[in-house]
Amino acid sequence: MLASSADFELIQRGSQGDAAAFEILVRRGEQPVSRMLARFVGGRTGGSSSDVEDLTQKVFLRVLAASGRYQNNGAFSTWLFRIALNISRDAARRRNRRQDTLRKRPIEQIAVTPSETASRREIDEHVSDILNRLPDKLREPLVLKHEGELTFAEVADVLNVPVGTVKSRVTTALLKLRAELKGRGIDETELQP
Amino acid sequence: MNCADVQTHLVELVYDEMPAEQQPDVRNHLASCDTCRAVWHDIEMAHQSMSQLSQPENPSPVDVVGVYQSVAIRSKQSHKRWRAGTFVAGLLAIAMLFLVIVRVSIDLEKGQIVISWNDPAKIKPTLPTTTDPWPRLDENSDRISAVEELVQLTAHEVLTEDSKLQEIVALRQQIASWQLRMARQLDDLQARDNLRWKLIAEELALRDSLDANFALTRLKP
Repeated sequence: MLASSADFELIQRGSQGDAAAFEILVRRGEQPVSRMLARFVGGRTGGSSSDVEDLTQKVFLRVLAASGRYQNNGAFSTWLFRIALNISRDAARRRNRRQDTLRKRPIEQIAVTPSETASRREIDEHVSDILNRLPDKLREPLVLKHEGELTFAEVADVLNVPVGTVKSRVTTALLKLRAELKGRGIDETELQP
Repeated sequence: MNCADVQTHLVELVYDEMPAEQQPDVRNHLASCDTCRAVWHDIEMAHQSMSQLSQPENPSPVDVVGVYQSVAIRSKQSHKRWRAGTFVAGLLAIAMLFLVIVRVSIDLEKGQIVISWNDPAKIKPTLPTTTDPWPRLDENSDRISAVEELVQLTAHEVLTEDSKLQEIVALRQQIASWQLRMARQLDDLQARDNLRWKLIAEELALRDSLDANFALTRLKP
């Protein structure tokens, strides 16, 4: 992920109007950011791909607006994902207020009978559903780790918690995911690539 | 390493972030501990399910030019809001200053809003004083004149609008009238006293005269 000392120079130039410099940062970070936003916003609150695009645009808009205040005291990637996480939380809060209840698909719609082999798509749906049901405290570090391609230290920096807490939460999230998949009849042979 | 230590580090092993020097100890423990090996296996399977999760469709690339335009528009709007805010703050400051300089009072009993910008003139008592209980007639006349002037002043003050001032003025007028009456009574007393002394003096003179005549008649053969 982005962790170059040249990133600071690119941000400085971008804040002074050098669109080409800013575009280098954008092209490097837009895929991980949009994947992360899709997991947060596209799942639990039922956002669409156009919502994800709007939010990704908003992330980089905020990055450019705040670029004059960016200080080279940490990796650019953690700063970028911190902004992305705040935007996803705001979007989720707004959607939850509008919808009043979390939009969770009932398990019966995606469950398969244990005797049948779950297809790849069905496994994906189960995993996504379980992810959406996880509390934010467990879901955020897990998604940041997977979609953001960040190290545990970088995830800790984004979430502003100790590194040990991040490792503990990711472990708990993965074990919950595994237990829930077992409970839905999806065994490890179906999880093998 | 005990099981608790190993299990806290298993996630590092799964994500390939465990320091190289730590790996032999952890792997040796996993080889001999069924419990920790089961936990590691569950974490590994869950990690695989996350890794195999199908990726969302690639979104359209970020419009960098649009980002710069949006930032420029927001900056203009922010500047406008700042200017409007400064203008309103200035107006409020002027209004506050006006209220501080100009006193505004509301008299609910009379249904009036009174605006004033000077302290009301303080009324100072101007009664002449004297320590002499029996002043001479000319001093008393001055005193009467001063009191009469005060009565006129207080009568003029009755015309002012301040109700409390009117009350004070009324009281002072009453005091002034009492004092005037007292002064006149004092004058009367003084006049009577002067007359009495005059009569006494005349009586004494008459007695002296009578004594003198009597003495002369006794001396004649």
